[in-house]
Amino acid sequence: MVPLSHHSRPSDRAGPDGCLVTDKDEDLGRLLTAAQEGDRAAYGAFLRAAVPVVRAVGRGKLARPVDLEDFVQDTLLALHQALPTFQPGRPVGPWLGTIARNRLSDALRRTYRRRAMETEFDDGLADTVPQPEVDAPPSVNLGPLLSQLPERQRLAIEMLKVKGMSLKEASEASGVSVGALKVAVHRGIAGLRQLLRKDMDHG
Amino acid sequence: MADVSHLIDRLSAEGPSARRLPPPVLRLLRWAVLSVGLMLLATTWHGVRGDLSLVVTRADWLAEQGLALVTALLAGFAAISFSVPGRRGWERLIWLPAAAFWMLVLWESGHQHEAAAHEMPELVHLFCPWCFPVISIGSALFLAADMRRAAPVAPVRMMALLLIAGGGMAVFGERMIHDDLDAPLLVAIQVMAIVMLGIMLAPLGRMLFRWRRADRSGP
Repeated sequence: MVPLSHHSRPSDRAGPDGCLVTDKDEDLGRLLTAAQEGDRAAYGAFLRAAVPVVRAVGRGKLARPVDLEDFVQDTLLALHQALPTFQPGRPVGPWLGTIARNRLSDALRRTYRRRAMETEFDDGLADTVPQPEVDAPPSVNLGPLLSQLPERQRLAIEMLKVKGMSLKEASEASGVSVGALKVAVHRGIAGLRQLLRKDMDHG
Repeated sequence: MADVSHLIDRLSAEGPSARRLPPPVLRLLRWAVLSVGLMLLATTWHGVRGDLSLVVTRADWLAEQGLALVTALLAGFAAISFSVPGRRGWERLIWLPAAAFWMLVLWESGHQHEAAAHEMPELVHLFCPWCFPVISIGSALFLAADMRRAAPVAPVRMMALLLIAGGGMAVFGERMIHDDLDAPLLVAIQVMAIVMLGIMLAPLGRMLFRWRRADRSGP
C-alpha cells in the first residue's frame, strides 16, 4: 500500500487496512465519494488535487516534459474510467497510486519502444562512410570571359567567388556597399552564363 | 496535446462515467449466484446424478467438492480484487492455498481408493461436452462482464484467474450432475488442464481488459 503522502503529521492515523490515512487522503476521499454521487464540482476539485500526486509519480522517471504531461493526462483518463471502483471509506492513496503506477509502466514502455526506434544523429558518421566519386566538371578558362564583364561585376566576382572574401571584406576593400556587391555578383554570374553559352555555341 | 486543465474541465463537465460498483464481496456473490444458475440450467437436460444422496454422506467427496467450490470462489475473488486498484495483496493470492489443499485432498483420495483413482473414463470423456463448456465459459463470461466495468490494472492476471474460476465452477457443477467423473486422477487432470489453459490464454486479457483511449481534446 502506498500512502498518498510520505510526510506523516500528528493528525495522521492508521486506516482500516493499516495504511496511513492523512487528512489530505480523507479530503480526497470525500471529494471522490461526492464525485461518484454526481457532484461535478467535487469531481473537478478531486482531479485538480490528484494532478500533483500523479505528476510526482512520473517525475524522475519520464525525462521529457512532453512525456510527463502525456502521462498525467493518460492517468486522468484512467482515473475517470476507474472512478466506479472506489469504495467510500477506503484510503484514496493506494487507489490513486496503483492507477498512476500502472499508467506509468505503460508510459515507460512506450518511451523505451520509441527510444529503440530512434537514434541520435552522429555528425561524424558521414565522414566514415565512403562517398561516391563525383565527376569533375569540365575545366573552362573563365579569364577571357570575365574580362568581357563590366568592371564592377568583374571585380565583385573576383573578390567574392575567386578570392573567397566575405561580403563585408569585399565591401571594405572596394568601397561598394554590401547590397550593391550582391547585385553585382548576381548580374555578373548571369552575364558569365550567357557568355559561356555563346562561347560553346561558336565552337 | 490538450492542456491538463482543459482535460479536467471536460471530464468534470462530463461527470462520472458509471455508477459506483458494489464491494468485491457482493460482486463475487452475484457471480456465484449466476454460476449456480448455469449449473441449474445444465441439470435441466442431464438431471442431478442418481447417487447424489449417497455421495453427500462421503466425507472425501464433500471435501473435494467443497474445495473445488472454495477454490473457484477465491479465484473469482482474486480476479475481482485485481480489477479494483489499491486492494490488499493477500486477496489476490488467497486462492492458491485453497487450490493446493484441494490437490492434496485429491492426492489423499487417490491413495485411499487406489482402484477408484485409476477408474479413468475414455479419454474423449474427460469432461462432459455439454455441462463443462456451458458452466465454465458461461461463468467466465459473467465474471469478465463484471470485471470489464472495473479498472484493468492487471489484465493478464485477471484473465488467468477468471478462467481458473470458471473452470473450477465447472468441475464443481459437473460432479453434481455426472457420477462417472469422480476419479481423483481425472479431477487432477481436469484441474491441470484448466490451469494450463488459464496460463496460455492469459495474454488475451490485454485485449479484453483495456484502458479506454478517449480523445483528450474533447469535442
